Amino acid sequence: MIVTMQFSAEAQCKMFTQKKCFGTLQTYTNNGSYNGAVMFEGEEATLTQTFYEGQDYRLVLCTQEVISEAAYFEISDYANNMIYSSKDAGTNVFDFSVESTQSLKMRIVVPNIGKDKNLKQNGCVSVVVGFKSSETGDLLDNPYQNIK
Amino acid sequence: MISMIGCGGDDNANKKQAVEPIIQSTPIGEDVYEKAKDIFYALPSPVEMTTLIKSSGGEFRKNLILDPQRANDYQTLQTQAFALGVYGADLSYSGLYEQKQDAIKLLAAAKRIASKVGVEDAYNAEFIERANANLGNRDSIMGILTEVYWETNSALKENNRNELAMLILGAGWAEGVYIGAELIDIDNIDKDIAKRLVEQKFTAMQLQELFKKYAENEIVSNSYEIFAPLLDVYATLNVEVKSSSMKTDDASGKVVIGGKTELNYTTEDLKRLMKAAKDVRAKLIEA
Repeated sequence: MIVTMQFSAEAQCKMFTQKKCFGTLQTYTNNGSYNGAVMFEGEEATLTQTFYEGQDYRLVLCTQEVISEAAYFEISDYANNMIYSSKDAGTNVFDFSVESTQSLKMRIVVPNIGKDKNLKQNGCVSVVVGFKSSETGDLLDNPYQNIK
Repeated sequence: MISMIGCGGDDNANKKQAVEPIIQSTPIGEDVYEKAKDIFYALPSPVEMTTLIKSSGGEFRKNLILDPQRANDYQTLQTQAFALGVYGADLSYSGLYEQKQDAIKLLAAAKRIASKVGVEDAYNAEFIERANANLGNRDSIMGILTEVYWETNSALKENNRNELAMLILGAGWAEGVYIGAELIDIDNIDKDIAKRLVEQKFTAMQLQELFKKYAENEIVSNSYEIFAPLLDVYATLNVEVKSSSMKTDDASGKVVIGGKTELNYTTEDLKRLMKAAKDVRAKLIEA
């Protein structure tokens, strides 16, 4: 029963990602990695990925409404120096390129919202990453860009 | 864990105005990352890998792709996972270079293996029809191939088959490295392709961590020795990373994460890498 409910939650997270998150990439090509999970208040996760010189990237932290106001991410470099935080940026969409190919860590945080001490809020949290060539701005069709 | 998901309502997370981002040069301790619920490593997709190869001037060579006729040779879950990863990478390679006939055969091969592995939904009739209809259109086919990669990836993770996902993606990555390596002429080294090849050190390190993470899974632990020669060579390459910064380019307005990553390698290193890529690939495609 518990296993079935967990699978159901993951399936919903996948559907949420497809319907609500892919469109945020607009003209960037989805890099194809599925980085979605149900997260509770007070939880964190880390995503490590290589970003290549010569490409532009869009990184989106896409969250269900129940936790969306609070959730944010931080980006750190190979040596764990924090480079960017979306906490006070007002948006969880980050467009960037890298001067030199490198591995970056993305720390995703769902802080305690504290509305109900007995029931922790939770929701789907998905990180979608898109890329395109920096030189040509090569636009590969994003099949989801028109999905609302 | 029971997840009582509230699924519904629009996500308004991204509608506020952006403000100047923060740059902090104080290192964050490892303990912060140890608190993380989970640590994910995202390997580059075959689409991204082949895009890197093509933008570096790499050409298409038909002899590099795995014979689609061999799809029926793979009988164990491990060999099927490897083959699916390899065919996926070859499909991206063929698609990006608009090799329609090769792509059609590779698509059929990948679909056949996907059924055996249990991700046939990713290669459903609608996808096959769209892929076939767009094989001559580079931009469209790359978007479609990204879709199938995502569907495969997410289906496996949704069903708690993360280890299998890792092996498929790892094999796809190794195939990308092999293709890049084979395109290098050691007597007349194309520096752009060589650079892209050596840069895969970062992904090699991530794959190494994934092997540790899933070490208790028998198929994963048995697979490690296949990838090890390539991971070991990458481990010997010297990477010097200088502290990153963030700036906004005045001309374009784009945000650039700066800092310098120096990958120091010799011709001998490149030769070892090329050999390891070839040897690993030979093992991955064994039935």
